[in-house]
Amino acid sequence: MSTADPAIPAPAAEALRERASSQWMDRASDWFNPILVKEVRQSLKSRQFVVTFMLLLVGAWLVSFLSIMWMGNAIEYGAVAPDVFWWYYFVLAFAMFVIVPFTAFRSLLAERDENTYDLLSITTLAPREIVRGKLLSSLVQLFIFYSAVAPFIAFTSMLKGFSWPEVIYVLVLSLLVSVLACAGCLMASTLVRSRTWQGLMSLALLVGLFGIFLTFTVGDFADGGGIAGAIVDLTLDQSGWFWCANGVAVLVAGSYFVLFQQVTAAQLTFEAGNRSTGIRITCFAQIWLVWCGVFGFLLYISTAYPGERWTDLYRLFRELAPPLTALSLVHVAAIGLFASSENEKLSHRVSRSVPTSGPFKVLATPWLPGCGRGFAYTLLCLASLFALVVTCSAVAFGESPLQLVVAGFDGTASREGRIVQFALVGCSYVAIYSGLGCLLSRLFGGVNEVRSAHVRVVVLLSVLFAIIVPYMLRSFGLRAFDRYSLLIITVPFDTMGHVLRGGDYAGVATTMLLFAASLVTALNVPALAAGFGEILTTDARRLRRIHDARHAEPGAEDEIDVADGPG
Amino acid sequence: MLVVPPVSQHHSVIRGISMNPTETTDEARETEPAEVAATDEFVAAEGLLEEERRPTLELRGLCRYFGKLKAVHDVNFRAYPGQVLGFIGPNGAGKTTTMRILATLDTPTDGDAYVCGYSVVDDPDEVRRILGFMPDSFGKYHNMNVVEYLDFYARAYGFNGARRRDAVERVLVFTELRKLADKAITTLSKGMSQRLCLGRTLIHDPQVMILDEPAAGLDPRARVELRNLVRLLATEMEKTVLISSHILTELGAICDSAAIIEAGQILASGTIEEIRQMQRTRKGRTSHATLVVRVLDELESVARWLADQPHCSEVEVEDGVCRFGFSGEPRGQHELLRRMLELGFEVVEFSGHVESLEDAFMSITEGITQ
Repeated sequence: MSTADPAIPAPAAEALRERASSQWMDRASDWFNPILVKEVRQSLKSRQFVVTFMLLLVGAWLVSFLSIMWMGNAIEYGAVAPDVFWWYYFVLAFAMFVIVPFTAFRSLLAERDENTYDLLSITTLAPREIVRGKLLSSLVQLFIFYSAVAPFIAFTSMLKGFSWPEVIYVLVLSLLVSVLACAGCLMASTLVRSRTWQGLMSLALLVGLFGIFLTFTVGDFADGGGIAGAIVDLTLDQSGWFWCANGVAVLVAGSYFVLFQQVTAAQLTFEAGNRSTGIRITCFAQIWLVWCGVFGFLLYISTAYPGERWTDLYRLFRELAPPLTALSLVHVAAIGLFASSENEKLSHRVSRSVPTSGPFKVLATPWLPGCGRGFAYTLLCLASLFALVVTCSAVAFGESPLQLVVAGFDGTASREGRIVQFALVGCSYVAIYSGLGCLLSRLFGGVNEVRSAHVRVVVLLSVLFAIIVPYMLRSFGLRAFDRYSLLIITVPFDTMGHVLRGGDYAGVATTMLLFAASLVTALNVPALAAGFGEILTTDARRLRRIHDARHAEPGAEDEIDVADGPG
Repeated sequence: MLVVPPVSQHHSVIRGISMNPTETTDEARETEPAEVAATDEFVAAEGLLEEERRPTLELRGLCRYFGKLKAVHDVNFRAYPGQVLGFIGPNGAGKTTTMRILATLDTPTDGDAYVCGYSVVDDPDEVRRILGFMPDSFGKYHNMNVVEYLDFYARAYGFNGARRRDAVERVLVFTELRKLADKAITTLSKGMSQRLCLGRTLIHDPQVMILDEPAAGLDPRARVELRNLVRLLATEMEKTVLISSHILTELGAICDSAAIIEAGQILASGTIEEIRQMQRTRKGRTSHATLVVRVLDELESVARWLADQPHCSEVEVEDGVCRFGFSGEPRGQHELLRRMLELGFEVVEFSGHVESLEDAFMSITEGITQ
């Protein structure tokens, strides 16, 4: 019905139109995440949001006013757009890098503090949907802040020296970083429960977020100050390499975005649910992503740029491979520690999702929850990492992988071979400590008082103890600890550095660590066997059938539970 | 004043809950279904329909330990559609822990609980679809009104479009919150907040409702209103309601049956009458009711006469009244009163002292705190 209809008075027509539009919005909102709808509704009435929005506008107005005053006539003929834009960006960046991510952190934390999370968690919303809803509401806030600043950027575009590609690039990059920061903050909010830890985490996050903010903004934008400025400088005359690097950065950031979401959802998932598989797959994919990227890069260079340029990149790989390997090892150690210290038994719920055919069961085992399977997963990651390092080194140094592996065991390995030896030593350390976690989990699995978190703390303390004791002895002036000797084999950094330098004890240390790793693995054979055995003997099809029948015939599950158990 | 002492309540065993041994070993736990089966046989003998036989709520050897503290230890009971089951116990007895496990907010250390056949451990998603939980205290979202609050939970339970709007409307009508629909939830009174929380619990029309201290902090009127709502849920909507409260008179008025828990263990369970009977048995009394007689004079003569009458026992004179146990039927009480009047005793009061749930609670529990 038209509002111009003479039969309907104007206010009534207005009310009708409002109602129709409200109904349309109500219908449309069915398509959105419930958390998003709730948070948008709340935000629109929230004092904090209104104050932030007003401050953003006031800040932008002040920038406009002051910049016009300050530049005077220069605004007519000078290339002042980058300077003015930088000030607007400064105002926007504070909201993007500090306020919105910290609000995301507080948002999930407040659900727990204000006792609303319990009621939310017992709805049929999956943890993943809750996380997604929180992230989407952060994204909506970001878009609103962008919209608020958009007219000011449009004003800047009328000034001299304004470059749309640069500005769009910086804004898109900032948006991605902000979204990643929001995902990280949401994850952080699920990791802390007590007030003390919450306070410490808040402080750490604020420092981190301010760090991001300052990294992106401090410096003169026009002179390439801050990351944003530096990027703008780079954008102008970059070849395909620039965009290649961008692609890699986006992929890495994307993988961490997924990982953060997986961890957050896992923290919110019910105990009997599968908290592990998603994280395991993501971490495994990350390692492959990085090293396949390196491999592809080397392969491309070795064929496209033979000669001098190739030599430069060969040197670059030799310098970059050890830190990249070390980072990958830290990554595997972190996920390995968590995976290897999980509860041993598979819940009925997860048992029902186990593949039904034998070969698929074997393939799926390392990805399923449980300490034995977690240790198998860690070994798989380490084997993959070692294989990738060897393959990349083979391509980079033009040697056969076998030669490199043999050189890795040799005490007088070549400089190229030492990278492989370095990876081998690192993998041994990770295998030893993950294996320790797995052993402890099985040992204390039946004790009520001991939880996975306790096992993780014990393993971490063991690592710290093994590192601190040699350093303490060194500080007491014991000469045996002055230089590297096998007495400090428990310190990974020193040993790995020694191996990379090709020190006197490199070969012995490698052999000893490899032996220790093999021993720990051998001790964990029962755990591995139990982990695989549980999956292989699980009749998921039958469990699913019983589960479906349970509702119709209560008591039927008793027979299954007693006779077969979940496995 | 003539007060007829309470007779056995109308509900049958199907509306009651299975009895629970206070000390159950692991072996006993394994054989626990036998006791349940006895109830089922009784139910079958009563000729009830198959659907009615199925418990909507069933706890089997439920345990929850926090380190060495046995917050809940080997708890077993069942509840059926249309039943209001009171869950009674002193502070720290394990009521809230049990309820949180049922609501899938916590996991048991051992044992399991089933809601309409679904395990709270293995099928929490299914349980959440059919269970509504009202905690003793609940957080309120800021910047949100009553309709938005209910609308959010309807969405969170997967309701869309007309179904969602209908669910919100239905709850607003049931809880009589229609007139407060646009009011901010943080400004609601305690009574209205409890109504809202009950509404939220009902938004997805659950089969089983767990209400933890719903009447706490409410004024008498709000308590009566809430009591009526809960009663309606069971009688009109055939929902199973597990309700805990410290106000035992309230529970006595709305519950068909009860389970008394102390130090994490079930001490008594059954219909309200069964629990009262259990208290009398514990006191070594065989009578079904305690009657009080007040006469103008000759109180001692009345006491002597009563002591010689059949079904009368434990006669005592105290505070100007004669109190005695009576183990006969209501008709027997009527007969007794008639004969007293015929003998010329000047009776001015003949009443039953109804042993309340509170009496039973005080008698059964020992005040153990963990």
